[in-house]
Amino acid sequence: MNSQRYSKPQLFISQPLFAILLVVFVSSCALPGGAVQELQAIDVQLNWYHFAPFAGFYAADHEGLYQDQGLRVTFHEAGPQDDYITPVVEGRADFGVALADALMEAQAEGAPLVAVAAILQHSPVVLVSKPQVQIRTLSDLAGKTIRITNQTEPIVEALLHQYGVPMEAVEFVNLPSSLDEFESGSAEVWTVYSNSFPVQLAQEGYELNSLFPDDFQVHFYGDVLFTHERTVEAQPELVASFVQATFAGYRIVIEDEENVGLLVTEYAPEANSALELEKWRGTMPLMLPGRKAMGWIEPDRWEQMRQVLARHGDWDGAQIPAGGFTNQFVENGQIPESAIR
Amino acid sequence: MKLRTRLTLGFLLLSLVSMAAVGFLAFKMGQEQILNNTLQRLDVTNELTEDEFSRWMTGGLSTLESIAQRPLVVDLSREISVRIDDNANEAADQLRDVHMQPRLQEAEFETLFLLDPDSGQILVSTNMEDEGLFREQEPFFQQGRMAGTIQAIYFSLTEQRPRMTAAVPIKTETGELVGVLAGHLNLEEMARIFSPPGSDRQTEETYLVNRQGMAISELLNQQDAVLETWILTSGVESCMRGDSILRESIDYRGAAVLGSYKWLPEYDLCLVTEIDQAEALEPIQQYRSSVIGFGLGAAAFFSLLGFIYTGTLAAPVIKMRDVARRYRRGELGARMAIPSTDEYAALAHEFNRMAAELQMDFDELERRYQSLFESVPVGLYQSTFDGEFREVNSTLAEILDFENREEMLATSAPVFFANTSDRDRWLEELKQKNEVVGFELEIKRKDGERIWLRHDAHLTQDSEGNTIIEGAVMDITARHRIAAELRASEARFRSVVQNSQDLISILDAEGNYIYISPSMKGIFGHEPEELLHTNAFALVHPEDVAEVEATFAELLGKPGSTLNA
Repeated sequence: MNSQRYSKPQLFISQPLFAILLVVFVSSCALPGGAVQELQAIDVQLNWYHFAPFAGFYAADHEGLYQDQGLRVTFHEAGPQDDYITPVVEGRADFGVALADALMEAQAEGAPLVAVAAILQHSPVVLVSKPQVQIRTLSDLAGKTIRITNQTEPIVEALLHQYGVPMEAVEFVNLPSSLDEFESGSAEVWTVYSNSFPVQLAQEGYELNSLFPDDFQVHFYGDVLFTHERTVEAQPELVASFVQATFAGYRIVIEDEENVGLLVTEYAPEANSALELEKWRGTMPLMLPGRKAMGWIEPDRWEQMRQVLARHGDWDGAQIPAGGFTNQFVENGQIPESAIR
Repeated sequence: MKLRTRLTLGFLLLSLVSMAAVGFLAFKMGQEQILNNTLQRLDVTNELTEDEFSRWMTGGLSTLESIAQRPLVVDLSREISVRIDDNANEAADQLRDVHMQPRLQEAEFETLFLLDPDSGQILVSTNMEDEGLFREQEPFFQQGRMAGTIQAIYFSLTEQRPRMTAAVPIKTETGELVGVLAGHLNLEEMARIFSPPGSDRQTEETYLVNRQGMAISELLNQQDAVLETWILTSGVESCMRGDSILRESIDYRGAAVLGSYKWLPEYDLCLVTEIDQAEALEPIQQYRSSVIGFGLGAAAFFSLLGFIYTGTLAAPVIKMRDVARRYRRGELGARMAIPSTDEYAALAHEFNRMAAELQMDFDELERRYQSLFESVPVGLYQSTFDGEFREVNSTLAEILDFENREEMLATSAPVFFANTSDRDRWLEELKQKNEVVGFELEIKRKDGERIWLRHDAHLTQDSEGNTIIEGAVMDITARHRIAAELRASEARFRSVVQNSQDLISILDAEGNYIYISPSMKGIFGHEPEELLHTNAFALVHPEDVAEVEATFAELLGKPGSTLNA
């Protein structure tokens, strides 16, 4: 990638862009009566702390893409124990980011939520283990201790069910993402996000055997962008503006990944920019669509995922409503005109 | 400004304007030609690359099909996929080692593998670690079950690298689908196909963009571009739209480029060949420099021709000017050559006629002037301040006792002045007033006789701008002598009247006294001054007044007569 493009920590503001932003700013200040264009406040509930996978949001915010759409966006982090669904249900947040299976669970419980784009086309969940554990396929999991979290549990259960590994054949433990815990071997197999903990493990020099759910017929979407049903119905322009600006931000960071670390530190000052860059590099492949546009939700895959969860989830799968997503805000295989040079 | 200069500048201007107009047209035509050639070359490059790319792709498919059609491979695949006996593993080893692995030596594929036609599971692979994994959702599998297909570059999440995968169905003679044979194409070969053309076209590159606008082949100016760089340019966008394809665009770097864009529907890709406009149009810049250079050279050449030609035009005029200068110097006999019959010749002819008439008039004036100069009874001369005579007439020569003019011209004026101070005073007055009129001075003639001359003179300038003296002299020696004699006679008369005992008076026509001799005092007791301007008849006895008045009247009627009463 072009690491020479920005030499200063101004991140993504190139000179031409700065000039354009300046003109826009001056123009906005020159409105009759000196009125500044009023921006619509938007709250976005993230499903984790600020980190690299959200870099597209940050870029859209930093580059003023939201502002260009008349939006002033505020991001809200969530910890591992926080409920990041309810704020959207209750209207405290306009948009939310959630794992697709978590969203489906909420939908099954009656939350009037709609997925409007799949940010991660693939689930980031991966099962990693040290080579000496010799985990090469799912059947090798039998008799092993598996570290899971609330977020990874559904897909792991689906995998085991898919391959007929009885739940009682494995032992689940809930451990924090700790290098010491991993080294201790208290869990032989770890279910982690490929764009997070494995990056740290790789930096520590661990060689890992990885099992990807996609290799075993479990094709879950990862993070999806969702909103309330009434927002889709009442403010479709708002949803379209937000979705398109967000993916424009993701296009920027895909092209300029070298700056992702610095960008993340603007929102998470304590973050390690080099580590965040590696996390982003682990995230980007998860975003790449097939023949459709970024954000596209393939109905067959969504339905298959729903059926898998319905069979193996803890909740009553029959309650998972069909649909629950829309592609009306995603350019279907077309490059948005706004993105053309 | 001289005529020749004006004409030359006119030629230069005309040449420049003409060359600019011709050069502009030539440049525009050349520019269009170069542009068209460049675009045609880009189109050809694009087509050649497409052909090579397609050959590579179809070559890969052909290789797979040749393997898939082998009866032994079909049988082995059937054995493996349906697991009809315990020899499936042996069949897998045979398929891998005998039919797949050797084909990798040709470097066409990186990996060959057999997929279960129903589940998409990898049954056999040259990379044994992949065996057991599923690819049921991959387009190459879904389409490869039906016919040979190639999935253009995609990012393999589980392999963490870009892949391009070909797949063909394996069918029995009865058409039963027993497997899908797939292979990951060796992307190094693709990189070779899309490698830069060479040093002669430094900025030209050919690359592929998928429908999402992502580069799926490496870029010349960006490392690791595959599936990491968006090519969201108007050229690519128009390529995807498939309508009017742009030829000029801004590329992924923001550089202005010329491009050839072709949508490849069978691969769902846009094939792009672009070159920086700066490089592509460099020949146009060179051509423009050549046109400008040629134009300036031609303008200079034509100006030189114009300079030479205007020389031939200006030459008669210059000759006329020279002849006119000779006229000005008085050489009215000069004539212009009439070598041709053009307008210049007609003008020269008229000049010559005019000069001839002027010569005649001048000769007549000269004759009249000489006649007047010689016949006038006044001595005339021109001299310098030093007294050198430029011209004298015969009258002057005669006054000063010379035989002729020529003899006098050999002398100088100062020698004639009887008193040197007179000349100095005269010259001083002349310098101050530029003109001295009625100056009388005594002159020594050549024979030494002294005579008086009345001398009128003024300053003027000759044809060369020198101040000279022009003068006229009259011999007033006789008048001087008469005046002297008159002054002596008058002195004598005055002595007689003043000393006479008789009363002598002079009356005006009214009888008033104008002059009364001193004897009045003795005769009448009156001082003469007392009676001046009184009537003389008042002193006459009244009885005699009438007679005296009659006599006085008679005398008035006979001027010059004398009456005695």
